[in-house]
Amino acid sequence: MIHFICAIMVDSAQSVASRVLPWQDRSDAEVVAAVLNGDQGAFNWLVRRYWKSMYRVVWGIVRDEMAAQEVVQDVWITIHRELKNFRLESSLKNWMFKILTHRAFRILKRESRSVAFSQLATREENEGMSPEEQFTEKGRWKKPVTGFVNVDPQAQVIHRQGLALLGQFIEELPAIQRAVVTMRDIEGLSSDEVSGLLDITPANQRVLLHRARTTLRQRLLATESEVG
Amino acid sequence: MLTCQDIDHLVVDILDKKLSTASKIGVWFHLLMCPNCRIHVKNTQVLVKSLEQLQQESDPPEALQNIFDKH
Repeated sequence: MIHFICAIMVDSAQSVASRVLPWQDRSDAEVVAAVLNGDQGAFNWLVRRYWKSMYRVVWGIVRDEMAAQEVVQDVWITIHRELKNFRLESSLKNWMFKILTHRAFRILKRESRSVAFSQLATREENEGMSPEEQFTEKGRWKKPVTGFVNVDPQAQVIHRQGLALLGQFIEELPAIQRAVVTMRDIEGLSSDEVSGLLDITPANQRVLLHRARTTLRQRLLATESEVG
Repeated sequence: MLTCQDIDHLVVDILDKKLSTASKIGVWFHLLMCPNCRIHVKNTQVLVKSLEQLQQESDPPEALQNIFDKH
């Protein structure tokens, strides 16, 4: 009996805690349940949290500002309408990005662009800073590698000013590299998820990510050396 | 024996923890000998952790907000 009462007390304490937790700390199931119960705050949080990444990814696919805005708007309406059918078999993030990329590829197909997306992705493997330029013929570094200076020693992340620059440098990446780095490194989707969502090969995804990270790392280091 | 360029090629797999056992040994041995590559891998780790910090909430553009006022 005492065990039973304790279990009820723990249960209700957890339920109170989950009600006061910020949205980002709640599980997918809790956020979905809140939206389905008509909690506008939960849905507004989803939009505020994901619209920017979604826009970056869509832009990488459709490469047209108006079309990208149209897709993002439509996708949020679809998410709101279809959330009752979300089954928690994948993460909510993956489910939302699947709707997004599916819609973006439909736009591409509708407009029957002459250059296929996979061709563009392959072309972008050679855009931006080339990792190869950094090495001698024998595969050694041409210059000594310097570490980031403006790093928070505890968190091991660059300082706030560097983060602002990083956000700016991402916007300047080639479009598909930007989509890949947004999904992989900002949103934390896996390599398999990103390859599947963008319909590119895992090898292609890997090279695009490597290129994007090389450019971002080099630009941040260059900024630090200019300031320093 | 892996070169610095090989390590750079493998840095995505190193951070994804997707190396085969043979590659792991090669990478470990190279990193033991090469301070430049140790810094390079560390820089990439810091970059990836920093990119995670860009997960942030922000107001959507007006066009997007209008859609939700209607729903």
